[in-house]
Amino acid sequence: MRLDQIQIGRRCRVTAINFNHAICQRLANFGLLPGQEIEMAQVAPLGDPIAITFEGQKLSLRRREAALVEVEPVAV
Amino acid sequence: MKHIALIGNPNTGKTSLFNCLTGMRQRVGNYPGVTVEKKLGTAYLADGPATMIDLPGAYSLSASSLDERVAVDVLSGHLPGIERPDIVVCVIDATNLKRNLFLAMQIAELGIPMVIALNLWDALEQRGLSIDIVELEKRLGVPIVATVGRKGIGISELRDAISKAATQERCLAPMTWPAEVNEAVNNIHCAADGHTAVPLTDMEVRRLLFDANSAVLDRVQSNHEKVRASISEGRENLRKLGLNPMAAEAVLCYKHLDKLLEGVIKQAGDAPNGPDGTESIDKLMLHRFAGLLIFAAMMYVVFQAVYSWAGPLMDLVDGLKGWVQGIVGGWLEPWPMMSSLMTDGIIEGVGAFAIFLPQILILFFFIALLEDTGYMARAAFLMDKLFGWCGLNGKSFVPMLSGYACAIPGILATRTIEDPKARMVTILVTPLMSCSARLPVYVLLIGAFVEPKYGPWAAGLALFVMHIVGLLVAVPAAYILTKFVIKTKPQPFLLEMPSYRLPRMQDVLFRMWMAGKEFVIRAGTIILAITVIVWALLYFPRPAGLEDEVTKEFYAEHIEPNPASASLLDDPDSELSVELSNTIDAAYINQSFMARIGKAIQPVFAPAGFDWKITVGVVASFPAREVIISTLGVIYSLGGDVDEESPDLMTTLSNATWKEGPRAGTPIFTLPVVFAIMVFFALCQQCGATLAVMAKEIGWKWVAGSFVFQTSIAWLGAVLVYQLGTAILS
Ligand SMILES: Nc1nc2c(ncn2[C@@H]2O[C@H](COP(=O)(O)OP(=O)(O)OP(=O)(O)O)[C@@H](O)[C@H]2O)c(=O)[nH]1
Ligand SMILES: [Mg+2]
Repeated sequence: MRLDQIQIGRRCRVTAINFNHAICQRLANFGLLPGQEIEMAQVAPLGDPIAITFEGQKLSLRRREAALVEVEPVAV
Repeated sequence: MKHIALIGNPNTGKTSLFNCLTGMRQRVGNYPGVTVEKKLGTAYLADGPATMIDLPGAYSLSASSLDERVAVDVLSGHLPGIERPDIVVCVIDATNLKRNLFLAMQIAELGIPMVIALNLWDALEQRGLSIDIVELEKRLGVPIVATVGRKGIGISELRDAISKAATQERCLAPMTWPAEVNEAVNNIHCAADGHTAVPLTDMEVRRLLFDANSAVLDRVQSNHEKVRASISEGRENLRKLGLNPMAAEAVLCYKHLDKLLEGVIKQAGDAPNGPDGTESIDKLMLHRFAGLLIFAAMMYVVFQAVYSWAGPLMDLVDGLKGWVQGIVGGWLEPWPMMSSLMTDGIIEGVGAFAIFLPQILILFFFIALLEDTGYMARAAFLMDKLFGWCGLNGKSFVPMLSGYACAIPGILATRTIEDPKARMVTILVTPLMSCSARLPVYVLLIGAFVEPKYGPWAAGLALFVMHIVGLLVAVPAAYILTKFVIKTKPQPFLLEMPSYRLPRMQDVLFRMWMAGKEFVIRAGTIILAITVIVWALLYFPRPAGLEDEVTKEFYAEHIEPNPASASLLDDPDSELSVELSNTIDAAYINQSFMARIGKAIQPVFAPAGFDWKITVGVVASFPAREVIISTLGVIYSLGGDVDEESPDLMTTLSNATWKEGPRAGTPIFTLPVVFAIMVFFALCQQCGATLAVMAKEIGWKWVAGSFVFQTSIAWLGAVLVYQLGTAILS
């Protein structure tokens, strides 16, 4: 599953990231690395971008970039 | 003097601490990227004064945007004129310890003595958490101070720690890298040795290894092949370790930090206040339907308030103006030219402009509120999609939103945009945002022509619409620029959403004070200067025979058919006397230099319904658009349209009629003309200061292009509005 497919309010864990894109290095600097648990907090009214929370921080990014992040759902 | 740099992630309170330490007042605000330039100040420490440097926030030393670059360059001593700092104060958001330490670990590689300020300590406590400072100090090896930047708590401790750090020279222990990384660093060093102006530091070499397109590569002047080869080889070895080179640094560093921070963050009793509520507020503010509604409602309320709250204050300023005019006019009675310069020129012109001070203050009150609560980043989130299709992104939105206050800080704020091309496009469209200098024009015209007829709610709506016009042009303009001129790829959008905070009254008042000061200074300088020039061009020449000639004609027309009325002229307040003096004034102004210029240019603006007086106002406003107000004030007061019965410019304008031509006798300011003027001002690039700042950021060539573009689109817009408007209304 990809991060952009997670529903609002659901949690998931990062399994893999496509680091061939420069944006992913920046995500990694924020601590978004394989193994990290994240929650899908909001989706913007027009469907894009999305907001995620992890480790007490909140980031927003577009679906395009979120699709580079592979995740697996985490049971609450 | 010692140099002390404040560095840290964006929005961690560096500037707040800087202000506390230096006693200065730099702008703070609750979104990442308020500070985009380095700021210097002096802090008085126990062992004497020291230079403090406030830097833009950075997430990492990879420096993906221009403002981050400044921070990195200062730290490595590459910024001309700024010495490499002797001490760094790493400002860390205590509620986000791990991520903030990631940057600190990178800085550790520089070997500069460090002090850590654990700022936002109050926010940490509010979440019911605590950090074991003693233990953390032991593990990191540098002094750590808990601070609350906005309340000034922990500042004296921070001062002491900085003084001590100067003598103790304690540096943050850098990470221990796997042998493969060290080997790669050595190899790159060998390849680059002697091929750079200044030898590369280990930190810089690590940037070469870890970053996809490091700016450090620009510093290598020759031997590129070898350097590149050594980088690739190093990355290959990382892969063999099972690490993706692009993520290696983050993976290794976060692993290191996880171990380092084990057990340091503690639950402080049971959470007294629980989480800070940001999530619940966002559930509403960013809600699919409610979010957009709230956004639109908020914007509408802002403009409605700007429009309607200022009324009484404006009346006050206006009353003051009339009073001063009366007094000064009395004093200067014996010298008609001086009297005219002072009352019709300076006081009328500057006063007509100064009336709008209340509006500016109210607008900045709201902008400060939006910024300080943390809503600005949410606005960017809500609007990103709307902007995305034209090559802009949510990050362009923040500079553009600042552009609603003033284009200059907006243009500077684009430094947070990583991609140089996207930044260029944003700079080019930011001046289209309706800045506060346009506000007086809208308020004047809407107040004179929309409100009396259609009521206050329509006036608020009109004001709101005028603020969107620029945006409606900016979006397609950006689209064309990105598609055909600058050709940018869609930019990723990555924005941290800060926690909501209660705005501090003093910060809000400070923003209003600064904006007010700026406004008054402009009134006293550029507006004053142009007003005097406009007055002179309208007052001169004064041909000797003109008054007699006009008087003779007036007699022939009014007195000769009815000789009894001649006695009325002895009373200076009689209708006939007033008409005579108005006729004389009008005759003078009609042959003035300005009228000649205006009439020569007027045909250009005729399709937009402008008469020569509006044309003069438009032309005079190119250095600074607010000049239109004072110019119209001067033109109409000199032109004899103003007398004691016309209390203000609004009434004067609504009474103005065409004096000659096919439309003689009908009002000049019809609704289509009014909107044509407003649209012209909304779109036109009439601000010398903005042009200068743009030139500094992107060069004169682009500025010239943008000027021509905006002027033509403004003219086109005005003509369109006037022609369509008249067609519909007739
Ligand atoms: N609650 C709380 N708020 C703080 C503290 N320090 C700063 N703030 C607020 O946090 C926001 C950001 O502060 P700034 O000083 O502008 O942060 P900065 O690090 O200079 O930000 P950039 O220049 O954007 O990188 C402002 O709204 C401050 O009022 C603190 O210790 N506690
Ligand atoms: Mg700052």
